[in-house]
Amino acid sequence: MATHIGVGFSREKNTAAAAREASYLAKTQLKQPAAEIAVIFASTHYNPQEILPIINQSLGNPRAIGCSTGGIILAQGLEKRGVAVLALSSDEIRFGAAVVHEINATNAWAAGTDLARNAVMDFGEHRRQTFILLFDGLLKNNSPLIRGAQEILGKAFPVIGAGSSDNFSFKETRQYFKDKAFNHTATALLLGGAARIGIGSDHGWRPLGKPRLADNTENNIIKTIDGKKASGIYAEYFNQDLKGFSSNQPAALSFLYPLGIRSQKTGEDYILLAPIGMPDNGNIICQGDVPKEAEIHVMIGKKDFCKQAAYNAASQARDALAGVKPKVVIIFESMARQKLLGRETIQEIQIVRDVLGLDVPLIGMCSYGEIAPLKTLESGGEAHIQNGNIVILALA
Amino acid sequence: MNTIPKITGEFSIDSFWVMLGIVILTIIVALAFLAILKMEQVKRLKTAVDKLRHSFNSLDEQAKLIVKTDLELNKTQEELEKRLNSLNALDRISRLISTTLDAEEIFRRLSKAIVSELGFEKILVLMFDKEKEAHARIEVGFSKETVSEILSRLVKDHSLSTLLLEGRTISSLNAPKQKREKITQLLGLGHFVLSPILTQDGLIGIFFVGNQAENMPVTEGDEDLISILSNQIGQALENANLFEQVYRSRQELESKIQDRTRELALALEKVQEISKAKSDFVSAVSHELRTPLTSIKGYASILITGKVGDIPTAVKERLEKINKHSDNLVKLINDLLDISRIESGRVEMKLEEHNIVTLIESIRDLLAPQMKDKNIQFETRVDQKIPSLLVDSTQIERVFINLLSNAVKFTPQNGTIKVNAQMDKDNALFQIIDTGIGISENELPKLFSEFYRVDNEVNQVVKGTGLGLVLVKKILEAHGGRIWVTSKAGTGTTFHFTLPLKSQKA
Repeated sequence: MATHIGVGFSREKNTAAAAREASYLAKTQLKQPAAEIAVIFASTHYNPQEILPIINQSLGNPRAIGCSTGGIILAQGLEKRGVAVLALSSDEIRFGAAVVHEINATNAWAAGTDLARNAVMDFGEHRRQTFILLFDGLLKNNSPLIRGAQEILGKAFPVIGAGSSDNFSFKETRQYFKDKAFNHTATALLLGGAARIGIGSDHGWRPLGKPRLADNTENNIIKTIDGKKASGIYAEYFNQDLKGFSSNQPAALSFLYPLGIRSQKTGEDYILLAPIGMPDNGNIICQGDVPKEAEIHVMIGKKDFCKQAAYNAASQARDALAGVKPKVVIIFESMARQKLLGRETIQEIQIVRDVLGLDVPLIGMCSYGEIAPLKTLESGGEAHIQNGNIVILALA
Repeated sequence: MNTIPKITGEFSIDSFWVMLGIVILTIIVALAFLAILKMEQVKRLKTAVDKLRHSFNSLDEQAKLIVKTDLELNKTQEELEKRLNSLNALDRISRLISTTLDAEEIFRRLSKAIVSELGFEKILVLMFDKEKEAHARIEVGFSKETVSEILSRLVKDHSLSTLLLEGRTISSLNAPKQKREKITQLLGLGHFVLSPILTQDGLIGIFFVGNQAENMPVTEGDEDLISILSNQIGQALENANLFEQVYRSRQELESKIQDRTRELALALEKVQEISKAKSDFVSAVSHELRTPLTSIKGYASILITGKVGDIPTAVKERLEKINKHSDNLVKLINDLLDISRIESGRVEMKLEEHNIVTLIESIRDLLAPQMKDKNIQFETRVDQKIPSLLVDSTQIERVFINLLSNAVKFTPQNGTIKVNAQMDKDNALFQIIDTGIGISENELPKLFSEFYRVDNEVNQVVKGTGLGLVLVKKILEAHGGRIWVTSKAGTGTTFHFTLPLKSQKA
């Protein structure tokens, strides 16, 4: 029983050369004639329609998922430009891959059910353990997508994932499946079998100021807070300082000061949701549903809190493995953390490596939105769309 | 009569209502009292809630201040990090391009580095050739078609070319509106920095960087970075160019030197061949001459002794002259043979340690009669620290005899001859000083040439071979020493020569 892992990265200027180099390095480490599964992350400098066929051919046409990103996470640090490939081959871990296209606000729930169903069908009759979901980070509301998947898999089934991203231009992101790239798409990987999987997540943001009440909400839209226009909360705190809040385009700064929605179930957890739009009518649009009458805080992050959160997340993942050393670590990290940590992102990665093993292959991406279960036991492991998180999957 | 009315069955309606009234009044009073108490409580609670709300609001106001400060801090930090990253990038790129002197390698390294180090979406480096035509050397984020378009517009639009040839760093931050629009149109970039690449010869290229995304404007830091980097590129290319020129010149020079050396070697070879041929000829001829000379001398001697009969005096005189001239000829031939042998290395110097002082004294004794005849004073001044020298005593005696004989020959009556000997770190230095007739300056260079005799009244009278000094020079050189002469006509001559203190090749 063996699992083979290969991680390759290239920052070659030429797109084809970058794809060749990254896939070659991954395959060399894999030491197998072909990969079963590939996870691919690439910065927006590269045309995915060019790189994906090359990688697929090089790795023997594996079931591949992936997406564009504003930052690739590797053991050596954060790379803002490049192509990264994780190649997997195993006779103990089972995989199921699926894709759903043309996702929008009205069909997201159905898309989620289709995605999960297709992944289960591809997976077969084996023990299911974790569902990795990569979605379009520019999609406005992802909660129905997750609920749809949970409808098939179960509410408490471990679901983690991330939204495709770019370099804070919020123009266009891509999702990859096999040898093609799409948008408005979600791809997924179901893992199970004899694998041991550890998951950890945390954010490190703290509530600031007095609690507010989201008295009027509709799915992912907050209309009023404390009886006033929702966007007023940011106007109150930032006055003229914040650019981009008057338009529908999200401001990178809103990622640094997301809203914390206090979990009605647990009372302790805060689900972070960054405003991704603030139209002129004063509404705040988030990436996930906001319950009515939810207690809201503006949240503030600090580098030290972020690093502590990374440690917490890595420790959760490690503890879940019950002493077994992981074979590979996959990280989904919010673009907000990259912005906040800046040059200290490398320290955060080092913290994760220190906890999970310095010699363990590591790959990840920076995302617009993460999917992870809340920390506390009371949450029942239910996954939510969140922002500002670091989500770690350790596969053993 | 005031009596308490009995409570009898006859209870009056009025009393009932009075009682009821009292009870109701009591209740009302009690309720009022309770209400007042409650109101007081509510009032207190309200005050407390107000205080709490006030505290909350104060805290919230502080939180807003914290957020504003945090926001400014984040902005500052972001700018600082960007500067730091720029500095690091500049350092790394500078090292890469300054550690090579090959222009192509500079561009190759630059192409690789600026992609990974600089965070711009688009980069273009244009270089001008000798005809002032622009060529793209590095392009990132531009298609080939776009680059061609840019180049053709540069050529067609003179005002644009002039603008770009101004030599200043221009960016979307500082450029006047018209210029900015022109460049935006040219590059298709809303945010850009444009910097000239300069050398001593002037503008040789242009460095463009920029971003299309609205949320990625260029900053003053970017201007500085690109400006400095352009300078570095210019310097690196200039150094590469200078190196190429120097290298080419050196190659040419080396080639010329090699040719010249070859010519000289050939010439030397020829000279050596000629010299060897001459030596061989001299040696062969000398050998051939010696045999008949020996016979001539032998027979002359026999005739002089009268062993074959009496001979007339006139005949005897002539025979003596034949003998004497034969002796001279033999000496000439022997000297020639010695020179030839020393030159060809056939003479092996028998090096043994000898005390130079003893050597000089023995030669003084040898020449004493000649010096006495001319009343010549002979003085020696020898440094006693001179150790024994490793010399072939026979050959060195010949040196001293030759030089001192010459000194005696050319010093007139009542003159002085001195022999000095001292030493330095490596050599013993000797001087034979006379107060003779001296040698004119133009004759000094020829003194050590074969057969050369100075033209003076002494040489016109006293015959010689002209080989003595040549032989002396050869012997000294074979010992690792050297000889030179200083002289002033009418005052005297000094012969200087050295012998090594340590063993040298003989």
